[in-house]
Amino acid sequence: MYHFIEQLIAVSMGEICGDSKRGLTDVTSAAKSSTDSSAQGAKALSAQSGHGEGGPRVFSMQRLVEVADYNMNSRPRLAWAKMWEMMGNHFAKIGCQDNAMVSMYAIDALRQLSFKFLEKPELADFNFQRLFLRPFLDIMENPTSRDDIRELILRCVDNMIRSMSHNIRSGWKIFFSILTLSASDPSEKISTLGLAILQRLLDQHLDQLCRLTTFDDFDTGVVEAGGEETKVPEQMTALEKRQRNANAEDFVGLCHASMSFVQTEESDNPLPIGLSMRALCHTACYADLIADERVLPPVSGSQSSDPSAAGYTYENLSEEEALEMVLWRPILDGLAAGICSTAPSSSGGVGCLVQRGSVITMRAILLRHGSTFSTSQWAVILTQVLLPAIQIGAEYDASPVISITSESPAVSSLDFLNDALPLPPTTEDEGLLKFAELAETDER
Amino acid sequence: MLPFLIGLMHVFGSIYNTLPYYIFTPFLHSAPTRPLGTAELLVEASFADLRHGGDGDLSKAHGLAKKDQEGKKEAEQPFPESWVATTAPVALGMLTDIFSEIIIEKGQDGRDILWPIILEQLQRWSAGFPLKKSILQSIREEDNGGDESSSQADVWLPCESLVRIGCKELYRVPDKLLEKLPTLNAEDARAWPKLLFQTIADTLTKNVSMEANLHRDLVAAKLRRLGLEPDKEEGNTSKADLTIDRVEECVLEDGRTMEIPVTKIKLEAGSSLYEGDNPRNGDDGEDDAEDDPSYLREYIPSLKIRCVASHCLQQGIPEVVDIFSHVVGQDEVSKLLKALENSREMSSKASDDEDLAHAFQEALLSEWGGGVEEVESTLASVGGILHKGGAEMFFLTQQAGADKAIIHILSQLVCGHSAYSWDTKAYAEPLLLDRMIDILNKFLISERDNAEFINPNVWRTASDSGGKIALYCTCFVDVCSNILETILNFEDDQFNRIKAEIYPIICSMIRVQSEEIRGLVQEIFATKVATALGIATAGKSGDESKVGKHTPED
Repeated sequence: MYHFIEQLIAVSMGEICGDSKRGLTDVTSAAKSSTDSSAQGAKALSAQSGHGEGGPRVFSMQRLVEVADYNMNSRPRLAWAKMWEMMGNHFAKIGCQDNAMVSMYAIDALRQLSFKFLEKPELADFNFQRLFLRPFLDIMENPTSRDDIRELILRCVDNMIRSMSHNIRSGWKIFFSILTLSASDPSEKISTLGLAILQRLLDQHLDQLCRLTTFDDFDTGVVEAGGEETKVPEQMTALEKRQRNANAEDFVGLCHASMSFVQTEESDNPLPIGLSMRALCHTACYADLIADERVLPPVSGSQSSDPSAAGYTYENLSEEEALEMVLWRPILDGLAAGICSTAPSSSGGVGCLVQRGSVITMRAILLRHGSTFSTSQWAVILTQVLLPAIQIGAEYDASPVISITSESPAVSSLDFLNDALPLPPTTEDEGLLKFAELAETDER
Repeated sequence: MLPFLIGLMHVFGSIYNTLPYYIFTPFLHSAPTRPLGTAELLVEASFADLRHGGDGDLSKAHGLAKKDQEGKKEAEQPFPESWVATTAPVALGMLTDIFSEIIIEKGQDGRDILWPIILEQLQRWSAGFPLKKSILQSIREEDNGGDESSSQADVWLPCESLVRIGCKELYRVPDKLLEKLPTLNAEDARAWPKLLFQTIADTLTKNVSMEANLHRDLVAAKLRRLGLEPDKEEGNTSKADLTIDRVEECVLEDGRTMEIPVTKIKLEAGSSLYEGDNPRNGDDGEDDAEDDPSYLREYIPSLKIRCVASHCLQQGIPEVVDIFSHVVGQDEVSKLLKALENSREMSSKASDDEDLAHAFQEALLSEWGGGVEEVESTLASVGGILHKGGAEMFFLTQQAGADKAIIHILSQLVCGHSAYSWDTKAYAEPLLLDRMIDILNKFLISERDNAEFINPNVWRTASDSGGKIALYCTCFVDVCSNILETILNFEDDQFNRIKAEIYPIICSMIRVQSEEIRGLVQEIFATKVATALGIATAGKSGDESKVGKHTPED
């Protein structure tokens, strides 16, 4: 079977590269019944793509889709995974083709297969979704992929989240990575779309996201809500522990995805300031989720040496405190990076919006949820996050302001310096509640 | 094929159409429509406030939407791209808020573990302590594998903006503590004010130490450059007095120690410490200074900034004393007074130092392209007095600030109505008398000697002119007024105890130019002196209601 797929991939590749004299329009039944005008359009397209007179063909690729479709649910998962690895790589390659028609065809094939694959819930302790959705990420990562293809992938992701979020498990990681990549995309449209997807994820799928904290056992059909019946680690089975760790890791991925929209460095393709500001609001939402224990920390595996690995936390804490900070670290570190961002972020004569926005967000989070941290955790937040960020921000400033000295201590030449913010009102403050009401009803 | 593609685009088109409205620009400024969490609500409200140029009061954030409709144009900032101007005050203010909302609540742990961390940042910006390398440089060195050869480079010192922000924030801390005081238990309510007194004394002392070292090194460098040897004995004495002893005395109690060991201060307080953009190797800094024509640029801005820090630190002291002096003990008050005394001594020496004044003027004129000869001729042409930017302007202002704070503290102890746990009058009265006599005598001498240089209009707003004309008599008008007001507040027996020393000075002050002072002198005569002479004073003073209170029976 693997040999057959290998050969089919080779043939498909040959067809795509234009070995055959037959054009793309000849392969599907829909195309066979197409009008003259559509054939002419396809011919013109194939001529443009430079793949010979007949243009690229997708006949074998379509057969490949059928093979995948037939085998998806009938083969043992491990055998299917091996088959899909070969096919997924092929789809990823085709998805990066210059010819929009071909690459779009590949994405559509991936989309259809993904929807079908996601219909079946993923068992605990497996990560086939991650494996299956990997080609989308590969195409996003490929710098030669077309803008419209990357945009199409984001729309696929959005559609899958909207329709299939109840079944997504290990696939979240791929989605969050794709959204993270969209933040650094040269196309502003793609970045905007990426953040919009994240925003809707928070607005409309927060419950599915918070199910990251639940223990799903599809064998027994038991779904235990994390917030209500939280087990202490000693009471948990090995499977539950692994799932809790994986859920925490996914949440960290989500945080990273939002934080990637906060512009922290000068760039040739700067993100619109509005995106950064909206992403900062996301972080406050994540902080609320953690503080409300709608997302739970991992139960093991904390480490402070590899930022890209799971369980990344701060040093100089007890095991329990360190595990708690696994969820907080991406938020706090991300905001710290925003505080000392070197990216210009002025709008309408008001400057350093991202930097100030990051301070404001950090302040809101720490003032609202600061009581959840122990003294040791506070010491770590101050010494490893907050103070370095503030100091770096000050040291990076090379504006004329740092050279201004007054002619007398009593007569300041620096009256233009901003003031500190007043303490925020309490959560029960009437004015603030009114603001919340307006925000919810969107009357502002 | 085309129908397939059309179908495909339809699928994606439908996705596109169902994407939320905020894909387009409005979403960038719109809050989500689901219920907001507590932190998220605060952020949304803060951003709304920021967008509309609000005053930071989030209780009013809901009303800001109207401004959008009115098309309000936000005020432009002078330096929008400056992190220091726009973000630093908010960032440091966050630390004060954390102190207020979190650290105070943590009691002993807050004082022992968290407060020193925050204090370090406040002191780093306000007083330039602890002496540490630039964090960016440390990061670069770490990236280069910790190359030791580059780690001896310069210490990071704050600019004036950061100093002013740091000092301002340091004095927001007592305000926040005052708000929280009613909620604290007895132990915390005693311990926090004591700690704050120690903190302020410590910060001022450290700053003055650095300032004194800079002064010494600047003058030494200047003399060396002119081929003269600095007075080594005097320099050593100054360093010992102002650096080692005083810093040691102000190390915080309860096991808390300073970040930088005293020996390190001693080592690094040499000329190599205060290099700005031209660092030396450290071990041979003095030789370098001799050949370095830019020494003025290196020392003088740093010295000015230290002076500004001292001034700002001193300015906030009276308010803190008013709030907390009755809670703290003699020890804390003594340390604060000693720190102020250090500052006063240092600034007094500096304002009398002709070499330093000359260096300041040279630096000022060198910015215009002049040299030593031009300085001499310019100084001669204006009778030796240049005001703005001169050493006198800086150090007389600092000295006046120190004296004002000292007088305020001592007056509070002598005349205050708070219930103290120790004998404040016995402690403060002699100190207050000494200070008063010294200041008033110097004021009289300065006014007599410099009267011809002073525009009579200056005296109309004498209290405000301290920062504009660098003479003792103009800088100290406000201090003298405070002294005279203190005398007016004395009880009769207190006045009787000091009248022999004070009376001749008060008589001399009848002739001073300042109407403000003459008015106070008149009032003293009409009340205190009249009472001492046994004369009924009602109706003879400009302020009858006040005078009427003092009768012979009193």
